[in-house]
Amino acid sequence: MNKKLKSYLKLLLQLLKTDFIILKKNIFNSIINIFISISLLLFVFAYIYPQLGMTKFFGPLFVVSAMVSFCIFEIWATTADFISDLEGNKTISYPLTLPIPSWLYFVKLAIYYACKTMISTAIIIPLGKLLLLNRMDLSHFSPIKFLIIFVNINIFAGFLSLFISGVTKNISNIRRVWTRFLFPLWFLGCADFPWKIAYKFSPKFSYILLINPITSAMEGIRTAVLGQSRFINFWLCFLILSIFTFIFGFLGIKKLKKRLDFV
Amino acid sequence: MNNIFVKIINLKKYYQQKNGVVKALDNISFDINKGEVIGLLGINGAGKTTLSSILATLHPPTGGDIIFKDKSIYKDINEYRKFIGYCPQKPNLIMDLTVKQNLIFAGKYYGLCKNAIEERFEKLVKKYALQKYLYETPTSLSGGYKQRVMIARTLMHQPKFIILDEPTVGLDPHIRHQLWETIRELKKEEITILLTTHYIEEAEILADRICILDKGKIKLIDTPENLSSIYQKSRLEEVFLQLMHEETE
Repeated sequence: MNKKLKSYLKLLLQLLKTDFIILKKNIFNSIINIFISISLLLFVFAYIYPQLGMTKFFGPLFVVSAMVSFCIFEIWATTADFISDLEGNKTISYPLTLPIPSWLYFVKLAIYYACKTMISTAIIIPLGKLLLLNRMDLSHFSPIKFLIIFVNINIFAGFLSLFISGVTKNISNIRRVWTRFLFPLWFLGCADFPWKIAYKFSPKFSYILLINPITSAMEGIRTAVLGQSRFINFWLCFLILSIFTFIFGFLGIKKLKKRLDFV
Repeated sequence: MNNIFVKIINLKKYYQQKNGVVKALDNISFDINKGEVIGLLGINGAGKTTLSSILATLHPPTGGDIIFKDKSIYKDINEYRKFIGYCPQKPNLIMDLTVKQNLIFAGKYYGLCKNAIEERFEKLVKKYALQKYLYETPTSLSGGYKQRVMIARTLMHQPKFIILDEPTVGLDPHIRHQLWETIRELKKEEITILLTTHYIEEAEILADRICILDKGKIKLIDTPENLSSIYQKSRLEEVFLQLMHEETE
């Protein structure tokens, strides 16, 4: 292997090790938070809502969708941390002078964000199964498809965090980012309904939803866990999400380069 | 010629702002010799931090070049980065790591082997009296100790060129004097230092040459002794004040 590339990889590994030491301190709290939120929401959605006439399928649908939803919530928290660092200690100025291309540091950052959400959201499906028991049918669960889309979704979320960090001017704008960008993206990303239901309601509206990457994330993971029949084709979701990952990665690093003015 | 460590050629840094272009650095050229301490002086907004951050490769220049080992640093910036240690004005330590972890990882980032890291770590911890604080996070340290950890981290990989951006600002006088001692020791080890400071006395005591920046341009650059004799002043502070006075007139 090229000597230079080897030294970059070694440094990247050390930077990731640093991140994981910090993550180790906080991950337990994140898992507890997810445990509490999922348990309470699932109790209401799976056991109370059906009393109001809601389909029993909503419980399993919610569990699987929550894997994407928590990634989106995490994007907001990560962006807030990033911006407050820029306005405070600027710890980022240290890695940007290390012997590694600066853009590669940001790729590492996106990978770290992805690992962070992967670790904390990994409990959602087992927890959902535990709480829903036979209401959650996992007979169509595909471990390979699940792994592919799970990694894909989290890396997408990592790069989306970078993009949002690049375009958010200051910490006081962070609430605006949630209300005007992330919330509509998430809510109109088929967060609480399958795309095919939107199609039944209005084909035109459903086609608009297709250009939202969150739709692909939601439908992709639903296919991997609950089977293909009710959702969009898995590989189409994977393709759309990969394209958006690349777009947000490219634009995110470009925006951060402009914002931080790094070499 | 062989003594030149870094050559700065026509360096420019312009910022586009609402009311026009701000020239933070405007055609700066000078050489930094091997093993010398260059004191960078100037009032707020003179371009000191801009120059040091460009030399530290944190920001790119708008124009001009920096030559290191006979080639532009921008041809292989990561090779140049191995030789530099940058200590910015604001402590940018990783606040979630302990002091020990901050130092050990600094060695690892530069690819030092385990033994070298341990040896360097022991030496620096002893030198800056950090033994008591190794398992504390930087958030619990006083300003003076944070600065010591910053300098220790900067020195972990034994850089040949150290860029210190106002390292003594806001520190108690006795800690400032300890840092002066450190700079003197580094000088003995033939390490090249760019010292940005507000304190004229500090530059006078420590620097081999003084570079006074004003509005992004070099006002003058010479040894403290030559400056005093040219301007017929006994102290550098008087030279500085005269220059700034000429400017306002």
